[in-house]
Amino acid sequence: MSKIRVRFSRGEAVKFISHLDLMKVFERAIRRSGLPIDYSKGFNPHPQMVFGLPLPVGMTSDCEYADFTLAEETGTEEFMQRLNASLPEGIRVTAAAVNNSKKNIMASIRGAEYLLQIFTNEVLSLENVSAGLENMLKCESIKVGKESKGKDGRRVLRETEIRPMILKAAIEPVRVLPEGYEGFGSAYLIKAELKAGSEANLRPDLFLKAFAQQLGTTADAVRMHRSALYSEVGGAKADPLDKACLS
Amino acid sequence: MPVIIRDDILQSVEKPARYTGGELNSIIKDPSKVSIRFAFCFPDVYEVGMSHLGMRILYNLLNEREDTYCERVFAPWTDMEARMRENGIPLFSLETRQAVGSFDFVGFTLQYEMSYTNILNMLDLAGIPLERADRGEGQPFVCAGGPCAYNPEPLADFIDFFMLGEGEEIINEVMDVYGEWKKEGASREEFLNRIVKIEGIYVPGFYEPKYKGDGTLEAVSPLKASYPAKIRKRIIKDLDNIYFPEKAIVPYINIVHDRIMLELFRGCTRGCRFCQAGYIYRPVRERTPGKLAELAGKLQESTGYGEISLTSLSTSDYSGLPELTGELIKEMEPKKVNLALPSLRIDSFSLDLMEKVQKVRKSGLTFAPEAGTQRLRDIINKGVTEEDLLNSVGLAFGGGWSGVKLYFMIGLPFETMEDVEGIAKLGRLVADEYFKVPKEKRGKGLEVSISTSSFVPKPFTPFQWEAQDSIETLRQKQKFLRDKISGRHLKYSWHDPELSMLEAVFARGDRRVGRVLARAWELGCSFDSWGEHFKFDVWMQAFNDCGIDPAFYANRKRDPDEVFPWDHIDIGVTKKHLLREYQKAEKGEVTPNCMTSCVGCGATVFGQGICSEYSGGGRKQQNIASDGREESE
Ligand code: SF4
Repeated sequence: MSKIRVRFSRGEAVKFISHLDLMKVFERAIRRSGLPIDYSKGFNPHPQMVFGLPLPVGMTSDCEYADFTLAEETGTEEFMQRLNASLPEGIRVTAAAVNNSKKNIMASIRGAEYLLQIFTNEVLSLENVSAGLENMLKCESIKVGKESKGKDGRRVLRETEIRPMILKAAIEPVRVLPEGYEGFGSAYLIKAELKAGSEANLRPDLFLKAFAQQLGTTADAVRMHRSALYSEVGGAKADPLDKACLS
Repeated sequence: MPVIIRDDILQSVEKPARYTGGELNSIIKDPSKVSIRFAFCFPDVYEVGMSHLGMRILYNLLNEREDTYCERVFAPWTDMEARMRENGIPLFSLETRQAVGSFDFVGFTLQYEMSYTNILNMLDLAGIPLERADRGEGQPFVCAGGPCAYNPEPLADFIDFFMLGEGEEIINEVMDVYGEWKKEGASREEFLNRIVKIEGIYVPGFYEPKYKGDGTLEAVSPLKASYPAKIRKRIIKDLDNIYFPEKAIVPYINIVHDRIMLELFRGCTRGCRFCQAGYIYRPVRERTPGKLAELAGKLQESTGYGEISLTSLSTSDYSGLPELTGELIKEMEPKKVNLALPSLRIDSFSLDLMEKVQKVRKSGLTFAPEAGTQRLRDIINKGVTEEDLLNSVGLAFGGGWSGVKLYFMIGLPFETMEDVEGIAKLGRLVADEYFKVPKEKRGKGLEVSISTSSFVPKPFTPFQWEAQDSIETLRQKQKFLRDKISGRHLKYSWHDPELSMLEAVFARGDRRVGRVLARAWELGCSFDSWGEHFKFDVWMQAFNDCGIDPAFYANRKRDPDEVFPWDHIDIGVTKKHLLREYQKAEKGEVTPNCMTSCVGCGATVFGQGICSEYSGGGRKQQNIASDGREESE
């Protein structure tokens, strides 16, 4: 029995796939590849794989992680190559390492970095937007209504405190306007580092909602990308493929 | 140029992955390197269309050609359609996201009548004139095929040409002609003139219907003597050697049939008198178990699917079933791949097989006795007895199954209230079988669900002359049955008779009902087979606006010698044979299936499949009747 952790990217073609569907993609790719994955016992055997933080539907990423348990020892290079040969084009494994840690990837994630391209119909200056963000970050408390399913299945809005979950955020210009977005009044990019994982998790859409409240405008279109996902070792940020996280 | 669809649009619709493509095994080509672009359109949502085997076969087959790029197109769901119209986005293909209006061919597969408004809607979204008469040089040819094409007349004003029968050969012949024609730069009319010579091609613009004073048809006749008076469907002779894709697209999102589909055979030997598929796909032709096992292996490797289903009209009739399932179980078990067996018939139900392949779920088994009494089952030639059914469910209950679904039809020809009540009685008897099994052997929580659909008379069946029950009568029968079905283990569900009535109109409609279709679409009808979008009142308004009475098509019994809108289509089986079957039905006489004896239905004209085993002397002929081919032609 051996374990391998991989980093993979998800491109434009597969950004509207749900987390559940993504797991099926891997399950089939593993089956196609013939890699010696370990299966769970029981009537309906499942391949033993664990994924990091689910990627929200509509987002691209170059830093997704997954752990695989193999029934036979397999080299990381070979694993990566055979898996890539079986995955659809939009998903690429970019790194793999032997994993000796007891803690699975899902339980290890602590933070994430997002690149959020915002497009508004209203014409806004970059200075105003930047000032708005700075003002927001100065607040000690930021409350925003979070939608969740109530007991009776109806949707309810709950006020949630999000300030402690915003680690960093900065505004940048959008240097190359993507095709199809020329008609908007303004475009800007937010680079945000937010708490993520099983202990505390701030979804970027909730962050954007709070920011829109602050600015008093709405984002008319958003393109989202996850640029980093990290865990912690001894209180410091660490890449999940870092030696410290794998032993 | 690809159509651009911004993220905010995709984020605002349900299941955006319906529109983004890029699935494993989807085919990517450089459109500038091919001379023929074919948009294969399924007039329903992605999940439904992708579950359709015929589309998958033809998609891969066309893409085997170097000169052709076939791409997929599905009907955008209403939310996406609204966003597309708001943003001026035309109907686009999944592979290259290019406007369908710029393709050479726009081909629709006709699987059910209630998808017809979606065809018009898709043409409109593509910016293609709905009526073929309005299309000009440089615009795509709109073609159609599939089971509903056997009565092409309701769509005759919208489709440039139909391809009748199995598509593998004919579609290549059409592409060959097109390639030449395009090089020459000849006229649109000239292309149609060339393909009308291909067997199985029906060009509706070359034919004209004439009607009698009473509104029935006099004839649909060719405008020139050189056009064929009868168009014969195409069939594939040797299934082992015809193209079958070894790769299959694997969708990202859940589709209706999310597994490998292995087609064992085409046609059905049974001859149930209500069933159109049983007639239009004649004669039966099988693939060999060896070939199937080989295909299964390749498909499994190329897709990574964890389930294989054996699909055919009546899978348990497959002669090589034990050999094939034995082989597949041996091959697939170590790979953790399951075998699913749909449409098992109860008279050849094999509990052993079910035990072997369905280790997990023991909840639902499906049976389709279709009618509640032996008298009516004989009338419809459903060769199933009460004893068969009770034995089968008894065995299943003994084996631990506890849920049974029973499918019936109401409104069948010659049905009485006793027959309707028989459905409830049969349900009760099935439940009794459960209680006969000792408590410790049977599964927990018995549930017998009875479901009735309403009979729709279809072209090319012995019941094509029959009237459909009126909506009121169907309602009364449903209510009557609801009152008869009692007990907490029995559940009853039924279909909307309004939808069945419309189906009956378009199944047997002539060219005139096309106007109703166009009007209903104008008034906002689409996705009619999806309950939440079905607008019966609007449909009735459309009939009214066009001055067409739906009852003339749905609820009128035809004379034996009435000319039908599909009489110029030849499926092999003769009208004379169908009439003979209809008369036998009235007398409650059953007809044996093709495995037992040949009753001379006319399908021998193809000289293929099971029929040739009789004529070739491989099978002994018993009481063979004349197929009446000479007289009817
Ligand atoms: S000709 Fe005979 S064997 Fe062939 S399909 Fe008809 S009944 Fe069956």
